[in-house]
Amino acid sequence: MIYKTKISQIPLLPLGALKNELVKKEKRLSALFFHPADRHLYVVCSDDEKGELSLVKTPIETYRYESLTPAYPAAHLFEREILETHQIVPENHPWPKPVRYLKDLIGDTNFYRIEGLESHEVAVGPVHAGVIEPGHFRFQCHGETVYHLEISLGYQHRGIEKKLIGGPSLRTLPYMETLAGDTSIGHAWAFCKNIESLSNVVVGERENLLRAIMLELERLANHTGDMGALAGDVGFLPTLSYCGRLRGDYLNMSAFICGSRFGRGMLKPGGVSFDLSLDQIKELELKLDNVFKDTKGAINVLWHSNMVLNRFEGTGVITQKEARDLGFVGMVARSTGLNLDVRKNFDHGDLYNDLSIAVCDSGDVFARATLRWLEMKNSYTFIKSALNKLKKAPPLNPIKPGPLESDSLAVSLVEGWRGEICHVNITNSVGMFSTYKVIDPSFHNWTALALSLRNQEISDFPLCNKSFNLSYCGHDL
Amino acid sequence: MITIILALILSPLLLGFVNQTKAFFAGRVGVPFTQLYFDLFKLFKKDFVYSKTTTWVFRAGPIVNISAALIILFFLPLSVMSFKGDIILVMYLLGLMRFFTIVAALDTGSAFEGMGAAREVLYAIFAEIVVFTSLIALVYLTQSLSLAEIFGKISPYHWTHYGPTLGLISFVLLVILLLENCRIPFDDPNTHLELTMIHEVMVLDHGSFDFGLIQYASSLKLWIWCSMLAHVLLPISSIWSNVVGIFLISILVGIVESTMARFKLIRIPQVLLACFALSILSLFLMR
Amino acid sequence: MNFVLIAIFAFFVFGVLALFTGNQKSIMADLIRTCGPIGGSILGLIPVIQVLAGKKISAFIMPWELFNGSFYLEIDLLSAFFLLPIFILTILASFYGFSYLKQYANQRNLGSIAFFFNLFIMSMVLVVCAKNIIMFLLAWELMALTSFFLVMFESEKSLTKWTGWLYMSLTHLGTACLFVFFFMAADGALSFDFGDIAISFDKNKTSLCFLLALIGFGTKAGMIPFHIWLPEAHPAAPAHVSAIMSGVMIKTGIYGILRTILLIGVPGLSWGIVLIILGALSGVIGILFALAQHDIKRLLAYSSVENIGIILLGLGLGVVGIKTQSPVMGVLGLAGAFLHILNHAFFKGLLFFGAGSVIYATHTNRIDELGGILKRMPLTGLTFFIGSISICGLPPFNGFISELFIYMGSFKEIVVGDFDNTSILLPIITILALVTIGGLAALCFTKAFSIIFLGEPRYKFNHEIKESPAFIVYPMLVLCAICVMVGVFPSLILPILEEPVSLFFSNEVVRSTFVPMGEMFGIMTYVYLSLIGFITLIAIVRNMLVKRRSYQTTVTWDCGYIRPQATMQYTASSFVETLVDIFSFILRTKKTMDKPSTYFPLKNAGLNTRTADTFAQKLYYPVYYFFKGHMFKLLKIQYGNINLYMFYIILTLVIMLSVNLLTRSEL
Repeated sequence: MIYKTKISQIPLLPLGALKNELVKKEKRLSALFFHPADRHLYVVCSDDEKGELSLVKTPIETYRYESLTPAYPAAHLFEREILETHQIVPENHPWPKPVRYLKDLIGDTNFYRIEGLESHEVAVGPVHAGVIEPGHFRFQCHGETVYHLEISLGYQHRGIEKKLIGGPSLRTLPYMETLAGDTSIGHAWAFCKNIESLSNVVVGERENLLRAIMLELERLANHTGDMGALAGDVGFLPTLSYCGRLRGDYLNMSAFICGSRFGRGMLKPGGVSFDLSLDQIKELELKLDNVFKDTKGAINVLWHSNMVLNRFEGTGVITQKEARDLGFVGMVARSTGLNLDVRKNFDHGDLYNDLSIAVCDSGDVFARATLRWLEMKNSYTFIKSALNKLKKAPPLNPIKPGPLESDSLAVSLVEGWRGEICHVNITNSVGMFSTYKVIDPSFHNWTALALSLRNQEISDFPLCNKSFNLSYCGHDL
Repeated sequence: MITIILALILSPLLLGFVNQTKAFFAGRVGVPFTQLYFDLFKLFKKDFVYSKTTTWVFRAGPIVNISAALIILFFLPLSVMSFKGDIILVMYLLGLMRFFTIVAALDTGSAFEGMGAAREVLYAIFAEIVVFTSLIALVYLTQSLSLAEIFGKISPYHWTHYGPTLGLISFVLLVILLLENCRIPFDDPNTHLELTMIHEVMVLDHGSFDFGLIQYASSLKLWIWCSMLAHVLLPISSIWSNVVGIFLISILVGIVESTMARFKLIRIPQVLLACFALSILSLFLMR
Repeated sequence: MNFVLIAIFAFFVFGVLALFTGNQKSIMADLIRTCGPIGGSILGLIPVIQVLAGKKISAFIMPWELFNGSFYLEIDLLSAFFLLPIFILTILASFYGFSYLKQYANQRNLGSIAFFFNLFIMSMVLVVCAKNIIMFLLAWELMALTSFFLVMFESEKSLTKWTGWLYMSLTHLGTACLFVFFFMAADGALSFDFGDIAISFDKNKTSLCFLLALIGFGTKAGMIPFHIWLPEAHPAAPAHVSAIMSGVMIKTGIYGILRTILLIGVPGLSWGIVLIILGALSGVIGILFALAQHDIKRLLAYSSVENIGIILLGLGLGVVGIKTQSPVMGVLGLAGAFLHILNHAFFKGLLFFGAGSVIYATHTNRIDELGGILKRMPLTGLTFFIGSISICGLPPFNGFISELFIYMGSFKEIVVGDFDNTSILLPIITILALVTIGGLAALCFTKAFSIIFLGEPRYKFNHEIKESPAFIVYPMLVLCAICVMVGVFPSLILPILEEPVSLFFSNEVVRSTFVPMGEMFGIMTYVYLSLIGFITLIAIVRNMLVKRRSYQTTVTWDCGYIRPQATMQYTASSFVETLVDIFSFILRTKKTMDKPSTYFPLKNAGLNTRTADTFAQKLYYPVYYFFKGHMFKLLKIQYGNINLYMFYIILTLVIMLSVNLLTRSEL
């Protein structure tokens, strides 16, 4: 999905009207950010039913404004981010705390605490016992029960958005591919789309098919790894052992296509770097069939273990209302019954005609696990049909994108394996990035993890955490 | 005497067997059988690091643990010592080990270790009830009150006459063995996550020599439990058959670990209560 | 006997003298307040030891019409056995109290406390020595009154006042039962002296009499469901008084039950079963309530209920043993009960002393406010630690020995028993109850010790926390030494048990049962010594290594977070939460909190739990409120009108007269 407009054509709304619009029309917030060059708040909303994006802006004259969060909770983290990076205070925000803790700018982090001498806190991280990224989790517990979890991230903050200003440059694409290491294709595609729209390039069918295949391979690899890790967290060794290997096999397929297991260097603005010959397509089909057969076996063992199902069911529940209110995206939203998927809901030509979207509605770990498996099956079918189409598709037609349109804004949406990836790009008068805003799905969804832990056993935290498997660096940027 | 020497030398090998079984089922090569020996050797060589919060209680924990484990070895079947009633002493020495592990864990003032300690002591309450119920049955069957005889005297005769009782008791003892030695489905020694562990999280702050003692003591504890269970399952009163039994049981443990998932922690008391019901049933079956 | 008389006299005289010292701070006043109980107890110990060594001491008998018999004091074996802990603990408690009460020097009248303390000890001595109903009941009442005043020590606290009255009313409920029991038992006897009653007792009344005695004495002992005064009263008194109340006073209830058995004969088998069931219930429920408490002294008080449960289990085995002709089980059960009476006096005394020492140093009794004080109070910590292990019944300390007796009694019965016979259930119940109690006690006391003494301080006190003065610490060390000695050298204690048990079983049976126990204890001593040897050896090796290698200190593993806080520790409440949750059907703990329920955290969410006594809530209060509600209706007949009262008197006289006349005419 891509949306392009001139900055001057974006409708201007006063803050109060904006709030009403958001609350009344129950819009889903895809991005909310502050553009310092013209001191406006930009609001990107998605309408999933109509497949439309809408954009408004609101002037912020002073360093304070009335917070949107009390009426429209989905804005809470965006407002905290604006507070942190631009020191613009959202008044009456219920929890106005910096998101990433930039030490020089804002004071100490303090955590919500249950008063009294009987409850205790558990502080986990930033250094974790497993090989995972850093983050600090603060649990408010009594006995084994968690009453509140606060997640404090920012340890991976690299200042990427700041570095992107003035781009695009040769460095921009590598930055994009490492925004979140396991979502290289997703972010690279969103970036490419963005550049292509602003330089008025239309990519051909073959390019799009290859990009889509790479994206689904990425999804398969990550979902397989997660299924294994979920099994590992309940101590179910059979699935754990096999999924570890199988994930590698999917990654190797990416490497087969482009030389990088994470698909780096595959996408470039204007096209793709590597093509698949007919023989390669056949070889890939064969590989995929074999690996997927093994995957099926490894994962079906899981569904046949009552003990595993017992651990999954009812653990870490997210309700549909929470998902709607707080704007969760991707798999998390779909696990509560919301039919949210950029691939289907928004216009992609006939690229995704063969794809079906899975939705579960119980919102627990079981739903998220089931959803993963269903999505894997869908991705597998999709890749198979895409590979078929690829056999007949016209050859690659590489185009080198020209300079970007000036004073414009482009929004690109891609359904990465975690969910909606949103890149918003505002160019200045010479067609360079003046704000490049990246919203990784993790940014929306970390709150879901925090909520899912309420009234849960603390020992289920690793399981819940893995069932979301959110990106730390994608959030911290 | 030879029983003690065998236990002292071979007990670290047990964990190797468990891990190799798991590796076999996972299709991996797995760590060497002798890995724990290397670990112990490495740990005994290391320097000391202690938390500022800790006191002598923390340092006493591992020492008392290993000493009590050594004492228990004396009372194993075919070992050096035995008197009427030593079974109670042994069970309470296991309790003493647990007590010291728990207070040593709480000495660190860490929420993780508090969590582990709270779990350990809670499950122990139920486990002890189950163990003693099985002991009542065994005491009655063997007409003896010493550990050596209770387990050593079980013969094929008992299996033919009280098969159901002994079957239930073996099952229950296996469950307790898995629980006491922190194996799946109760605990996962290989998990790296502090929040879900029971035993491992209690020894998080122990290092070097102390941790070596703890590791060694827990391998001895595994040996002790396997030995008792082996005597029930392989009712032949010979040292070597017992050793074979011990290693077979370690393989059984590996198989259980490879095929089962972990229980939700809140379910463990329920599982143990079910075991209690089974052991009570075993008493009825003796009539 | 003379020594005991002198001791009683000393308690009385020094008590009265102490009353006059008031709040004086001179050395003389201190001496008067403390030396009565110390001197008297040391004197009193002499005949006690003589009797326990097998010597007979003649009774002090003085015929007295008022008592419908005689002023009859005698130290027989049973009395001597109970006097032993009374005197030992009194000596230590007096030293302890000397230092402990200093903190109240400006607020309370220390003289009157000393007075009540003296009389309290005197009444306990009288209770176990009295051999006449009236004397016994008088002493019993005196014991209740004096301890009531000691409980009311901080009487300006409204809670204490309420506590005092609760104690008073329940005690009297018990005493009422005793009155009925004694006069039923004495019906038809020559005099009210115990000896005469035993001769002429009508065996048909055994069951009813035993029921009354069990309620009466069980109330004093804190047996469930008559225990509800205990967790209220013990914490209110000063620590050394709590130690005596918990350590020995409640044992006078057990003394009463044993004396009843000697007096009216062994009740039927069903009473043995009742004792075992009551023991199991008291033990398990007592310790369950103990571990849910936040106040350290309440915790210890509930744990006394648990220990009474263990003693009752032993007693029950004894009764069952006598009735089912299984002397081994009976002897071992009874011996376990007797030894546990002693042991509990020692370790509970120790723990109450320790709790007092902590309160002395920190001025708080809330476990959740404490933490990390082992470094500041090393000796209190060490002794509390050993006391905790002892009370959990873990080797190598004394609690294990008494539980071992009861275990052995039960297991030996199982060895010889028959699974077709339902009476085999009794030893099984006993074993399972003991195991359950043991496991729960481990939870309770790892919580108590660890949260108080280990970790980091949870609360910042305005004053420095330091070790208590010598007179507080030394008594604890003495008790600690006793716990270790009895635990490691249990053969030493066997002779002391042999005689009292022989009151209920024949000498040969007792001896033949004790011989194997003695052998077992002998081996156990070696086992313990080798355990201690191993520990020492490994500790030496470790220390050598420590010297040779680098040794660093750092923070507890905190996942690399830069600002660890004391709130990141387990709290006492969290430590037991899961279990409290499992047993919520008994404990009915109330948890009040504002759960964070909105998307963003609420301000000021707090959490606290309270475990009130279920028996008080569900059994006593409804009855109390029922009567309270209906008693007001009686006001109608009490108008303050003299004429009306005259009318009542005349009416009563007329009724009595007519009843008298009517019954006579029937004759």
